Amino acid sequence: MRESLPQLRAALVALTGLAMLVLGFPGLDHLPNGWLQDPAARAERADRPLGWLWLAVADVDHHVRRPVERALAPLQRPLRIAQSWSLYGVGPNRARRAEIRVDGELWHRSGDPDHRWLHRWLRARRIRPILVNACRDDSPHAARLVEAIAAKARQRDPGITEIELRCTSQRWPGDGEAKTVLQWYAAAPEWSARR
Amino acid sequence: MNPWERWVAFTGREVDSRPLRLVRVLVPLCILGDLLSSALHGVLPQVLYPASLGGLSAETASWYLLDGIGWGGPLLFGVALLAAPFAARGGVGTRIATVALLIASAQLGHLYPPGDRAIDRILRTTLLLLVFSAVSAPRVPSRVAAWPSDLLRWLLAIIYLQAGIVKLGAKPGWTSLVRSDLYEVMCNPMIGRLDGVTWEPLMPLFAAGGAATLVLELSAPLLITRWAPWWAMGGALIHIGIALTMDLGVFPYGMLAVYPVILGPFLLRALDRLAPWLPRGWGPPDATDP
Repeated sequence: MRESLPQLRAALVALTGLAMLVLGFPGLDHLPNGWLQDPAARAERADRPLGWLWLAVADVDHHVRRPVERALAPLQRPLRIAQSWSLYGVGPNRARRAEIRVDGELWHRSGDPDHRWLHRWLRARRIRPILVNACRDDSPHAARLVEAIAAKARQRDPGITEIELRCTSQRWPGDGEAKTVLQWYAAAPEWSARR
Repeated sequence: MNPWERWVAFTGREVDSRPLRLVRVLVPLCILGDLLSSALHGVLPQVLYPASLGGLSAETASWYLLDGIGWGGPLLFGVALLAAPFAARGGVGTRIATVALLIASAQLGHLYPPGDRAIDRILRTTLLLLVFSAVSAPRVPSRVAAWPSDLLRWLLAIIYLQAGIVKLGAKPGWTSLVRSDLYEVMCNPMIGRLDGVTWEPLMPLFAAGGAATLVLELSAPLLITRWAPWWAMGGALIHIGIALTMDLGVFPYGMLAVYPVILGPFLLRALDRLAPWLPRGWGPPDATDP
């Protein structure tokens, strides 16, 4: 039994390393499920330059990576160790900012040293992703964030009647005219968030 | 030897245990520091309460185990997060402490999915590998099997290579002299600490930094070669730069916490020189191994 342990260890290390490679294979985790599996889409892609390469990538994703991902889901999901790495790839093409206005007065503006109310809270790494995604109109938690901001504003000044979370976008370097892309409000007496 | 026998010998070879032991100390400290940072930023009520009790997350993932006991669940896992690093450092039940830390971190991720990021998954993957390593044994030998260290290097190589490949598709691009993506990331008003107007005239500097980042990340396969310590110097510079110019929380520190396994010989030489001032067991193996 003891003699076979190194063999078992070697096999498990090989399988683990292979699973890490397959699951985290660069680029594949950005592909939508079933990408290029439709015959018409495959035929259209095959006619393009390097079409064979894209079809091979799609097949590796569909026939190798996703089955491995499903097989390892009982380990990956409870421990939250999905081997899919989406680190910073691209910068934002415009300078986006979040503004918080309380009864019309500007209290917070991203990157503005003169309006830093709630700056540390909004920059905390567990809050910031919600704010960033809210400003992209891509967060199911945006309404709760707005209500939490309203609660904090009321702690500071119980007499306020309305807060606004406004997301703006400017051409780089970020000193030109700001375009409002999204607005959320919360107002007395309910203080529930609305667009 | 045939290839399989060589692989068996390779995975079973022994290396100095100090780099992995350092990872075992630094990763729990990063998790603990992250929790304390959340407390200092005043965000704990929003991220530790389940959605049903007013937490910020609109929903709690189905794998969260203690939804039925309200605030008691986060309290329990928070206490586990706080206690586990100390238990792990003390060497008392290190393996149990590491498992507890892994489960507590994962549960808090399930409780608050929007704040659970790639760095959390990297740290938990590291903890999972450490659970099975000899450095989590009650009495850590001075030399341990190299496979956990090898798998961590492999993991870092995949992560950095992925980051480099994704950057190739960026427009206008990381090497652009018109507007480098590095400039956009560092001057992003919602994440970065640099002012876009002030720093715009230095765009060539950002383009050079972007090019260096690309070269480094695309050369990440070097992490599984003997050149890894030299590569690690560049990687460490990137993470120090991120820590200085961006508000990404534990990310740069968490990544650096895994670096002892790639700094290898450089780190061991430094530990050897510092041995007189370090706790017993961190000096050269010959001097301390019973």
